[in-house]
This record gives sequence, C-alpha cells and structure tokens, in this order.
Amino acid sequence: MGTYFTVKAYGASPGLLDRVFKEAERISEKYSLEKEGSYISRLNRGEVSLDGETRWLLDFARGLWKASDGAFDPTVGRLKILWGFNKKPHLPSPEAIKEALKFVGFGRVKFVEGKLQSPGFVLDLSSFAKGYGVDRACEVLTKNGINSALVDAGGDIRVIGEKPDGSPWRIGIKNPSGPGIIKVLSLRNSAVATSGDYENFFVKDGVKYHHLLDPRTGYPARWFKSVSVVADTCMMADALATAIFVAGPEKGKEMAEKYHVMVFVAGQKGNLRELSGR
Amino acid sequence: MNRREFLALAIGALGASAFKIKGKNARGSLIFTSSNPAEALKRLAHEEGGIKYIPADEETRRLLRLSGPWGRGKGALVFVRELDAPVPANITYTGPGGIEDPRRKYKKTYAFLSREGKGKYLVTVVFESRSKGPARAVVEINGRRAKEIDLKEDGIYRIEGAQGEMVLEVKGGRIRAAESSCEKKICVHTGFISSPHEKIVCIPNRVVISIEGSGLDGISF
Repeated sequence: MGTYFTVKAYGASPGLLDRVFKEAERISEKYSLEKEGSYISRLNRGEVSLDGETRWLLDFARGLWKASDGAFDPTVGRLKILWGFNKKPHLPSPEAIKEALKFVGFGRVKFVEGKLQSPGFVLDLSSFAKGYGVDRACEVLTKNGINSALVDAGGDIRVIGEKPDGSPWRIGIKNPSGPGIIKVLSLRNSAVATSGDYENFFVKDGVKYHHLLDPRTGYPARWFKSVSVVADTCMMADALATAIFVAGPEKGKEMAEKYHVMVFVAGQKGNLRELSGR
Repeated sequence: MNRREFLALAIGALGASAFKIKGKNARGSLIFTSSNPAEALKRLAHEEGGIKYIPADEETRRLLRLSGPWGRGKGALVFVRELDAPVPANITYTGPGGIEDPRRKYKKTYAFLSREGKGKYLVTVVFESRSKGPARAVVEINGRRAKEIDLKEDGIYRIEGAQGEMVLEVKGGRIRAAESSCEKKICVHTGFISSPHEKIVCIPNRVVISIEGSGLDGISF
C-alpha cells in the first residue's frame, strides 16, 4: 500500500493514459472515507442510495465475508475510525473497542430503498477499492487495444499480457522484515496485492499495533507479517490479501482453494511460504 | 604503528576475513576505539547516510544495548569488544586499496571518531560489498521521466520540481535529496537510496527518484 499510481502501457497515447488516471482517481475519490463529501461518506450518512457499482462491490464483499467467517468485513470502518489510523493513531481503551464493536458486523447492515438504515455503522471498502481501481484502469487500456501494460497503485499491481519482448512481467514481493525482496513473481495477465503489518502502524509500550484489524475482536490480527495474493483480478488479490491476513492460515488455505488464487505468507519470523497452489 | 594500533588492526582484519555477508565477501572494514560505541555508531549511521547493522553475537548486543536495526542503506556488521584498558582513539579503514586513514579521505564522515580521546571499546564495522552496483537513478517529474543519473560517479545535480528546486547528491553508488524547496523535507529525511525497490518521493515538487537495474517491473508491498 502506498501513495503513487504508475502505468506502463506500450502503445498508449497520452490521451488514453489521461483517461486511465481519471478512472483510477474517480474510484479513489468515490470510496474515500476521509473526504466528507465523497460518495461513500454520504452513503454512510444515509444521504444517497446504493448505485450499481457499489451494489456489485458489496455483493463481492458479502461473499468474502461469509467465506472468511467474518474476518473480512466492510463494516470494519467503525473500528478503523476509532483507532485513528488515517489521522491520529492511538490505542483505544477496551471499553471504547467494545462500544465500537456494537457497530461492526456486515450481517446487521440494513438498506431500505437503497439507503443505509443502520446508524453508527460505517461501510469501508478501502481494503479492496484500490485493487478495483487497478482493474478498471486496465479495462480502459484493454478496451482501447493495449495488450501489454502494467498498472501499479502503490503496490497493488495488475499486468496485461507480457512485455513487448515476450518475457513475463517481473514483480517482487517486499521483505516484510527489512530491506530487499523476498520473492520474485513472473506474471502474465494476472494481479498481485500485499497486506502487511509494516504499512501503517504505531508502537506503544513495545507492542506494534497495525491497521489490519480483526473485525471480530477489534484488535490487529497477529497471524502474519505479510500476505501476498496472486489472482486474475486486482480486486480479488487486494481483498483476499486483507481477508487472509486476518483469517489466518487454516481459513486462508480454504479461501485460496475456493477462489483459485496463489497465496504467499510471511510468518512472524519473516520466512515466506506458499499457502496454496494454483 | 604502535603495538596497540597493530593489535586493533589485526583483530579487525580477523573479523573481516572470518565473516561473509550473505555469501559476498565484505568490501572494507572500519576499526576505531570508542568510549561509547552505541553513540558513535549512531553518529556514523547518520553521517554515512544510514548503516543497517546486525550485531554479531550476544556479547556485542550486550555491549551496545541496542534492540534493532537503525538507519538504512549500506549493510554493515558490527563487532564490539571491551578492552582491558582505554586505548587512545584511533581509526583505521581497510578497503580494496589497502589501509587508509579515513580522516584524510572522508574528513566529514569519520573525523568525529578521533575527537573522543580514549576509548574502552574496540569497534569493527565491516561494510557489505556492493557487487553489482546499480547503474542509474531515474528522476520523474510530474509523472514523466525527466532525467537519468549515472550512479557510478559522485556528483551534485539540480532539478526543477513543480514547486521549486531540489539538489540531488550521488555518492558511493547511492543517491539522496540533499536539499529541497518543500516545507516538510520528507524527501531529504529519506536519506540515501541504492536498491531498486527504494524511492525518494517529494509530493510538493511532484518528484519521484528511483533506482533502475534490478530487472524488476514492480514491487508489491
């Protein structure tokens, strides 16, 4: 996860690249919880109704929510706001977490005539909106005849075809415990995303608290240091990286098989292993 | 060279030859005495633009009382030995060119080590070798590839970012933003980068500096 957006597209005109950036920006703005006037913020306040795009994304999220036994939950937004990861990260009291948990649980979210009718709940799609943005960016490229490209949204990457010389795109997975690369993937027409405990965290009294919260406990998940998923789409890779990071190895292996993806996990000692084959 | 100096050198050389960092032979070693090795190493890391160290053993960790890597950039192994009696501060650098007095060549970087007086600890810093140095850095301004900088030669470069000027420094195969017109100077605080996965970003200037040459097209993190 990072803050840059890079597109390498062979044969694309500047005009086409502009459209690619515009589409990625549209999605980023639409689902930004930080912006009060964004679509997702207004949806959460019950001001607007669900549109087709968001309905589709929530359906996808629902499937993952069920498959992960709640480890992946779009209503985790309430907890994220409490911990303040996007503004002032701090350790909330157990009471505050208990209170926030009353407003977490996708199964309890109600829509009436398309409008959110569950006050206090906060829908947060940021765990896979970036990956979705990468997919949409790639769609703009392929619809315009580009068959060799790489889109990289701060570490969420999808590649179209292979490089012009016929070789696959080479993507490294960052070492979660220090500098360097822990693995190199050779990809064609696939996507990779990583969730790691080093992206957004703070340390208090010698304990590291990171932003990948378990919606069931309210605290950061501790199974892994990082999870990287290779999938057909970046939305799937992004969502599953988050889901498996929280769900743990057993459930993670199940999900890897169910969704036909490749999963690499780095344990607390930093060692990388593959959770499932493709 | 008196007996003590020779001893220091011998121990250092032994340390260097008895050790390999990830299969590569270490390039050089810096040996000095210090009364406060932790502070000296911190200062060295700062001057050098970041040294990540890995303590050699329990004893070294005990002596240094540090609990994790600090700084980034060049890899280094550190050995610290407590001496029987304080020895006059001394510095020796053993590199590919042989034994040098670093104060002459790297005045700013190592001069502070000789101001300590007497030191009770003998510190050996063994530098990781840069076997295949990165060829060049790429500077992107406003999303477009603006400049390519050869990292094999030390130098200073001035670039015009979206907001103002930035000064880039290339030294020892690495590059950093030495100065920037921006307010927060996050880019400057990033320090030197040398690995292809590292980037220096200045958002106000819309500048991204990255290293080419790894054969990788992207990093997932």
